Amino acid sequence: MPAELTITVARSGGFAGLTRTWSLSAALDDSGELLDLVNACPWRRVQSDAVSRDRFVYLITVRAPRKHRTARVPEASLTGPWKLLVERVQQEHPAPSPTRTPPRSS
Amino acid sequence: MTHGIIPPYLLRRIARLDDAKYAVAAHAARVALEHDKRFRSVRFDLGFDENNDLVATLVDAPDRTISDAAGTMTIPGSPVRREGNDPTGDPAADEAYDGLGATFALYSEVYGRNSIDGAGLPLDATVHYGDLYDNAFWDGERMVFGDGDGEIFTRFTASLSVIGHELAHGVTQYTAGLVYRDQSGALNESISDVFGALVEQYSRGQTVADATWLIGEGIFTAEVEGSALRSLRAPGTAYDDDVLGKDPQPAHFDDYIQTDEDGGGVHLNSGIPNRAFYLVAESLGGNAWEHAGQIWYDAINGPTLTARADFAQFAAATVAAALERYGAQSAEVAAVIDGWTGVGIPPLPPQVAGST
Repeated sequence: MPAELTITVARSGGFAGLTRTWSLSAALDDSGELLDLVNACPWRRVQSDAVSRDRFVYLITVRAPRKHRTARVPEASLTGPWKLLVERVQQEHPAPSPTRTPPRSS
Repeated sequence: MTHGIIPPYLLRRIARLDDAKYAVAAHAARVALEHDKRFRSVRFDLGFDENNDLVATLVDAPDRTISDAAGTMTIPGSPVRREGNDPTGDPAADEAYDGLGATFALYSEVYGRNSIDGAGLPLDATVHYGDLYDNAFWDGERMVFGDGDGEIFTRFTASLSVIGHELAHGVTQYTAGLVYRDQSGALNESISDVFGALVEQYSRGQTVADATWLIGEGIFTAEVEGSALRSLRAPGTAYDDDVLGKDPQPAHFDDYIQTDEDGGGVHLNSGIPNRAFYLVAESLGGNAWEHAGQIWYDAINGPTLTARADFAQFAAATVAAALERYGAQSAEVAAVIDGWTGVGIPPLPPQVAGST
C-alpha cells in the first residue's frame, strides 16, 4: 500500500458548541502541492485569540510517515495558508456531519 | 406624557432659551448636547405634567449601527441602518437592530446600566457574515451574525436570546472578565445564556412560569429534531436529532464534561450554572429579571469575583450578592443556596460567604 498523507480538521466551539470534522487522504507521491501548503503554515507560531467569544477553533492534524503535526488555530487566526489548507480539506469532504463532542464525565 | 426624539437643531434652540419658564428644559437640552459631544446617546423626552408645565427628562438611549458584510468575512461591512433609521426590510438587519434595542432596554431599565460598558458604548453589529456561515459571535467590539447553512441552521438573528447572549459577552468583558476556558469559561457562557434568556423574557413580559428558558429557539431548520440549542430549565433536552445527536449539556456537577475541545467544553458545562439560575428563578417566582437576575447582575459586578473564578467561587459571589441586597433571612438568600445545592455545588453558609 502506498504511503498516505491524512489531514484532519475538527472545528469546535461556536455558539452552538457542536464539533464538525472533515478529513482528506491522498497518496504521498501525489501530494507535493498539498505538502507545500502544509509546510507554509506557521505551525509553531499560531496567534491566540483571547478576546473573541463563541468563535470557532480549528484543530488541524497532519499525519504521514515520519510527519505528525498538530495545531489549534482560532478562527481569527485562520488566514493565509491556514485558510487555504482548511478550505482544501473541507472541499474534499463536502457533506460533513456535525458530531457532538463525546462527553466523558469526570 | 408624550415622548419624542428631539433632533439636534431643536435641542440647540431649546438649550438657548433663557425664559425662566423653560429653565429645566433648557438645562436638559444642554446636558443632552453635552452627552452627544461624548458620543453618548440619550433620549430627550418632553411632556407636560398635571399643572401643564413643560417637563423635560433625559433617558439613556442606545446608539446602534447595523452593517452588512454581504456574504464576505470582512468586518464591519457597509452600514445599512443607524440609530433612528427606518427598517431596511432585510430581516437580519432589522432583527439585529431590534434585538440590540431590547438588550439595551433590559440593562438600562432594570439594572440602570447604560449599554455594555455602563458608559453608553455604541452598539454595533454585522449581519450576513460569510457564506452559509453557521455561527454568531462577539469579537470584543461587535456582534457578528451568519446566515446559517439552510440545512441545519437558519439565520442567527432569528432568536432574540442569541442577540442577548452575544451582548452579554460584552458586559462580562467589561465586568467580571471571566477567562474563556474551563469553569470560568463555562460561567462566562452561562452568564450570556442567563441574560440572553432574560432579554427575551423582559421583552415579551414573560414570568418564570411562562418563559421557554430556551436559547436559540427558531434558529434550527424544520429538518432538525429540536426546539433550540440549549435549555436552562432542563439542560440536555433542547434537541435530539439523527444528525446532531442529543443535546450533550450536563445539568449537575456530577456530570461535568472534561474535554480539550471548545475551550474545555465552555458551551457544554454552562448547563450546570444555567440550571442553578433556573432553580433560583423558579423558587422566587414572578419575573426572573427582577430578583434572580439582579443577584446574578450584582455578582458579576461584585468586588470578590476573579477572572478565573470556578463554579464554587461564583456560587459564593451570588450568595454574597443576595445577602447584601436582600438580607440574611431573605427568601432570595435561601433560594440561591438551594439553587446551587440542586446542581451539586452547595455554597458556604451565608455568614461565612458574606465575611470573606
